[in-house]
Amino acid sequence: MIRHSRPMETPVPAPAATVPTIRYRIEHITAYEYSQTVSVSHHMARLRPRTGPGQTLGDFQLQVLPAPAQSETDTDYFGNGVDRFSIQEPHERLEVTARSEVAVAARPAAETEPGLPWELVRDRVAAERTPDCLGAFECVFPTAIVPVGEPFAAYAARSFAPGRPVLEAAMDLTTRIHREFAFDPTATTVSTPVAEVLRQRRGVCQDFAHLQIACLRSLGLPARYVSGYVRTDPPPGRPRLIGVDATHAWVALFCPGIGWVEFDPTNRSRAGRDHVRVAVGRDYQDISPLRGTVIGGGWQHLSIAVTVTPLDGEPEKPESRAKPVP
Amino acid sequence: MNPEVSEQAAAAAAAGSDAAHFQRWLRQYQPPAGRHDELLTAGGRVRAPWARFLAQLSKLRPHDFEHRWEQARKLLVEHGVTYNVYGDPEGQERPWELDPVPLVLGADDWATIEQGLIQRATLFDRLLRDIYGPRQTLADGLLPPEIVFANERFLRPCVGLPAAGGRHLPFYAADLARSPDGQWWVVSDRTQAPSGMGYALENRIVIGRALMPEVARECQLVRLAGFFDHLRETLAAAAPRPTTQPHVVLLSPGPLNETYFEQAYLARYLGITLAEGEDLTVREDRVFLKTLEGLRPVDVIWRRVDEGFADPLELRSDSQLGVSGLLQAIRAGNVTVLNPPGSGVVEAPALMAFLPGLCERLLGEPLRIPSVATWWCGQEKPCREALSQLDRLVVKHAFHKGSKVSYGRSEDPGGRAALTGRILDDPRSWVAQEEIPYSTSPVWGGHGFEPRQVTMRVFLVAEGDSYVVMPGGLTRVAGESQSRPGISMQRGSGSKDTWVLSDRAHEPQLPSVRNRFPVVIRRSPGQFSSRVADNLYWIGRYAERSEFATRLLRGVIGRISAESGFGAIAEIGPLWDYLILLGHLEAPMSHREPAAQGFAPLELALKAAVFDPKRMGSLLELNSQLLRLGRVSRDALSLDTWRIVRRLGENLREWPSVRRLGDLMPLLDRLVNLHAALSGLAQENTTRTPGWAFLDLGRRLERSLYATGLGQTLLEAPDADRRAALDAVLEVFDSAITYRQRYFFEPRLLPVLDTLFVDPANPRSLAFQLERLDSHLASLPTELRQPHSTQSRGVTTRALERLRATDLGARDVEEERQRLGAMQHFLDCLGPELESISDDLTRQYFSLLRPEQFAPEAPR
Repeated sequence: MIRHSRPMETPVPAPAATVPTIRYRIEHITAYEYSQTVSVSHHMARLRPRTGPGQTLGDFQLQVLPAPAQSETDTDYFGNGVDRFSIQEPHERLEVTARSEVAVAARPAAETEPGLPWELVRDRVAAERTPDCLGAFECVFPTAIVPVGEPFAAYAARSFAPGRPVLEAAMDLTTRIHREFAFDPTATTVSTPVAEVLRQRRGVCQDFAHLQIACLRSLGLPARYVSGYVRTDPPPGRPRLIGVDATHAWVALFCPGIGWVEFDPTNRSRAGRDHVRVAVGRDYQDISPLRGTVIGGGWQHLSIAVTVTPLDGEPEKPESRAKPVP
Repeated sequence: MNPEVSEQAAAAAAAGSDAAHFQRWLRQYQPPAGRHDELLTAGGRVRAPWARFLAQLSKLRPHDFEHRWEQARKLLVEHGVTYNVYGDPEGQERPWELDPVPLVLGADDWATIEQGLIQRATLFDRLLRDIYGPRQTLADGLLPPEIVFANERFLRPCVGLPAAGGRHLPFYAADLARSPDGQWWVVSDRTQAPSGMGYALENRIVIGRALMPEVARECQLVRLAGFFDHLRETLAAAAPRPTTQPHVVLLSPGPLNETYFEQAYLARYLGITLAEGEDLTVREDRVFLKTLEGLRPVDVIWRRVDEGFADPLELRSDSQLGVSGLLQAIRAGNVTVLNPPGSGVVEAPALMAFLPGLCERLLGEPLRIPSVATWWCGQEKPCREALSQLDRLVVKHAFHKGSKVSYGRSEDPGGRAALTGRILDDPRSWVAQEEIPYSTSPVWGGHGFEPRQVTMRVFLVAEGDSYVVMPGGLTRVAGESQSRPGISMQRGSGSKDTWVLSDRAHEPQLPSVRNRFPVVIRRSPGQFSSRVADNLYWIGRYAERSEFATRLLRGVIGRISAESGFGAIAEIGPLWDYLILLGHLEAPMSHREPAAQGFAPLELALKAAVFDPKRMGSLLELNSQLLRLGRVSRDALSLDTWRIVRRLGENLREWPSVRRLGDLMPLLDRLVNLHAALSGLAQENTTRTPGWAFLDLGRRLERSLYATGLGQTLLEAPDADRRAALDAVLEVFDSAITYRQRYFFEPRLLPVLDTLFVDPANPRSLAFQLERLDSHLASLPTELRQPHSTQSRGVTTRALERLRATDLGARDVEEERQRLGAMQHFLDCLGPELESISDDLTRQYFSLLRPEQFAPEAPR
C-alpha cells in the first residue's frame, strides 16, 4: 500500500488556457508475491492512458514478468485500453510494469464556463437520444458499489440550489467534500461502502470520487469515475524520489454542449495539466487497474510503485507551489 | 369397465361430452367460477381433448390406477428426482412433487402457443442482437434506455461478443397462464438460462411411460424425444469450427444448485459432459476440460451457471462458479456458450410493456401472444395509471426477477400508501402488472379429480433460423384450491406432465432430425473429467470403509448377542479394539470388563456405532457420505448402482427402534448383501474406463488399509486373545470357508495369517488387493504424471515381492515367534506407505482441480 501524504490547504488554481502542453513520463509497477507457486493466472490490466480531450498518449510499454504465454490488447466498453494476458509457467512473483509518455494540454476553455442550469442538464440527458446523451445517461444509474439515494441527494443539495449552473455547483460540491472530509488512509479499505464514507467523513481519493459520483447521480446528473495519476512535486530543493507517487481517482460530470468536465474532490480542483487520465468508467470496479485470477498462490502480498516525472523541466507556474495528493 | 361402455365414452368424446360420462373421475370436480377450466366448459361439458383422454383413462380399473400411481411414485424416488431448496434446514433436497393427471391440450390450442412463442423468441433474439450491438432501438426511442442501462443483467463486457450462427438466444422458455376468456398470456420470460426441460422429460417418463402408457398411445400423445434430438443437433451445430464430434459440456453450478438434478439428468440423457467451473480452464483463449488424460478442448458450453458468474475475470469476481477467461475465448471464436452471457437482460418484467411496439418494428407484425398487462413506472403516464388502480395490480421490481412481489389487493389502505411511496421513491425500478385469474385443471385428489390453478412453462430451442418448440412442457400446479402455483419451484408447488394430443388437421409432430454422418466408433473413454474420477475414487474408498466397518460390527454384535453371554467377549477383543482405534466405535469401557457396568452402556455404544448420524465413522455417517458422493457422481453411475447407494443410506434411516442388539443382525446382514451387490456391479457391469480404475483403486486401497490395520491390532493383542478371535477375524474377511477347505483343524494363527495376507488366490487377502492396486497403478494415464511422484507403484511392487517370498510355516514355537515378528514388522511398515499412495494419486491426478482464487485488486 502506498503512503498518502496529506492534502495541501492551498487549492490548485485551474490552469490558464495559454499554458503549453506538459509531457510526463510515468512508470507504474505492480508486484504480487505469492506464498505458494501459482501454476496458471489470467489478468486484465487497464494501465494504458487514454488519448482524448486534452491528452495524447505517446509511447506505451507493458512489461510482464514472468513473460505471459499470451497477451492481447483491446478496447473495453468505455473505450479504455485493456491488456489481457495469461501466465502458464509456475511462478511465485508477478511484476507488471507500465511505462507511458503522455502529453497533457490545458483543458478547453469551455470547461471553465459555469454551464447550463443543473436541472436542464438532468432533463436533457434523460430525454435526448444522441450518442453523447445516451452515453451520459448510462452514468446516471446506481452501480453495485455506488448507490444513489436520499442521503447523497441531501448532501449535494446545499451546492445545487435551483437554477444554479451545473459546473459552478459541481465545483462547489467538490470544494465542500474537500473541506468537510478528512483525508485518512486508515479510515477505509477498497470495500468500504460509500454510505459509510459519508457517515464518517473520512477516506481517500477513491472514496471521495465515489461519494461525489453518488451525490451527482442522486440528483439525476451523469457522473463518471476517472482513474489516473496526479503530479506531485518534491519539496523545494529536494530531488524527485522514485516510486513515491500513487494512482489517483477523480470524477467527471457531463454537460451537454461542453462534454465531460473533470473535478478532483481530493485536491479541491478541476482536473488540469497535473492530471493524467488512464481510464473512465461508472465506478472503480469497471476499470480497476489490474484484475486477475490465479490457480495456487496461497497468501498474496501486493506492492505498487508509481513515479510521475514531468519531462519539460520543473514548471515555474503557480501549481509548482501546490502539492496535489492522490 | 366393460368395452361397450368405453366405446360409448369414445363416441361421446368425439362429439364433446358432458361430465356425467366420466362420473368416476369428475364426481367431485367443481371448478370455481370466474376462471377458465381446462377440462370443463362453462356449460359443464368436457372439452374435446379431455374427452379423448378420459375415455382412455376410464379403461383403467380404479385399483389399477392407484396401484400404478404408487409404483410410479416409487420410480420418482428411485430416480432420485429432487429439487434443492436454498436455506432449507432439513438438508437441501426436496423430493419432486408430481401429479398423475397431465394437463391435456389439443393440437389447435397448441399450434397457437407454438407460433406465438416462436415469434416471441425470434423477437428477443433480434432485440438482444441490437442491445449488444448498435442499440438502434434506444436511439429510435422504441425502448427506454433505462431498461438497458439500469438493468444489472446488461453485461457491458458482453457487448460485441460474436454469436454463433448469428443466434443470440438459442434457448428460450416462457411461463404461460390462461385467462378466463381462454386466451394464453406470457407471465414471465426465461432467457438467461432457462431451467425445467429435464423435469418435464422426467415427468413424461413417469406419467406417459410408467403410469399410463396405453392411454398415451391411444390418445396419440405427441412424444418429447424428437425435441431432444433437435436440441442435441443444435448443441453440436453450435461448435465454432466444423468438427466431426464437437465436445459439448453442460456447465453446472454444482450439486447445491436448485436444479442440479435436471442438469445431471440432461447431461446423461443427451450424452454430453457434465462439468463445473473447476473442471474447465482457459489456455490460449481456448476452453479445456481437465481430464485424467490431460486437457481436452471444449467446443460448446451449455451454460447453467448464472451469466453474471460465467467469467470471474471480466464479470462478477465474487464467485468461482465460472471459468476465468471465458469471454475472451468466446471473442476469439474458440467456444460457443449457450445461452450467451448477457441474454438475461431481456427477462426484465419492465420490458414487457414495450414488446408490442418492438415486435411491430423489428418483425413487422403484431405480437401474437400478449404479455400480462404491464405498467412500467419509469414513465410518467403509465406510473399514474398504475398508482390509480393499485388495488388490483401486482407490483414487482422492474429488473430483478424473483425479488419480492406485492399484491395490491391484499394490502390495506395503509399498506397501499406505503407501496405507493416506495414506487414514487424510485419509479423506474418498479412495474405493476395485471393479476390474471389463472385457469384451473384437475389434480388427483385420492378419489377423484379436484381443480387447481396451473401455469405452464414451454421450452424452445433455436434451429436454423427459427425455433423448435417442445410439444409439452412443465406445468406447475398450486398446492391448494385457492392459491396460485409458485412461479418458481423454490416456493414449493407441484408439477404435472403436459400432454399435447395430435390430430390429423394439426400435426405437431416435429420434423425428424436427419441422420448424422460419419458414424464414429469409439472405445476410448472419451472425456473423463478429473473431478468425476476424484469422486469415483472416494466412492470406492467409502464403499469399502462402510463395508469393512459393517463386517466388523456384525462380527462383534453377532457374538455378543448370541446366547454365549459374557464369555464370548474374549473372542471379539481385537475387533473391538480395532473399531475403537478407527473411531467407528466410542466405548465407555474396555471389552474386557463389561460385567462391571453391565450390558447397557455397551449396547448403547454399539447402536451409536450404527445409527448415530453425528458420529464420524458410524455406519449411518459413512453411508451418508457415500450417498453424497453418489449424488454428485450421478452422471457417472448406472441406475442400478445408484439405487444400491441410496438403499445403503436409507436402510439405516428407516430402521425401527432397536430393542435388543440381536435385532440389528438382519439389518447388518442386509447391508453386507447390498455391499456385495455394489461391488458386484462395479466388477461385472462397469466398463473399464479410467473412471472404473479409480473406483476400484479406492476400494482396493481402503481394503488394504483396513486389512493391514486389523492385522496389526491382531498381532499386538495378547496371545490368548488373538487365538480366541481367529474365528471372528476370518469371518470379517469372509474367508472362513476358504480356511476350512484348506485346514481341517481349528483356526491357528500362522495359517490364518497366510490365508488373509499372503495368499494371492483369496480375493479378500491383502496380497490380492496389492496385486490389483499394482496393475491399476501401472495402467493409469501417464500424460499428467509428474516425474517426482511415481513412488506409488514402488510401494505395491515391493510389498508384493515381500509377500511372495513369505513362508509362514513353522517347525517350532521359536520359529512361529520369528514369523509373527516379521509379519508384524511388515504390516507396521506397510500402513504409512499405503497412505502415501493416496497422497500421490491426489497430487498426480487431482491437483488440476484446485480452484482459482482472485488476486486482490490494486488498492487506491
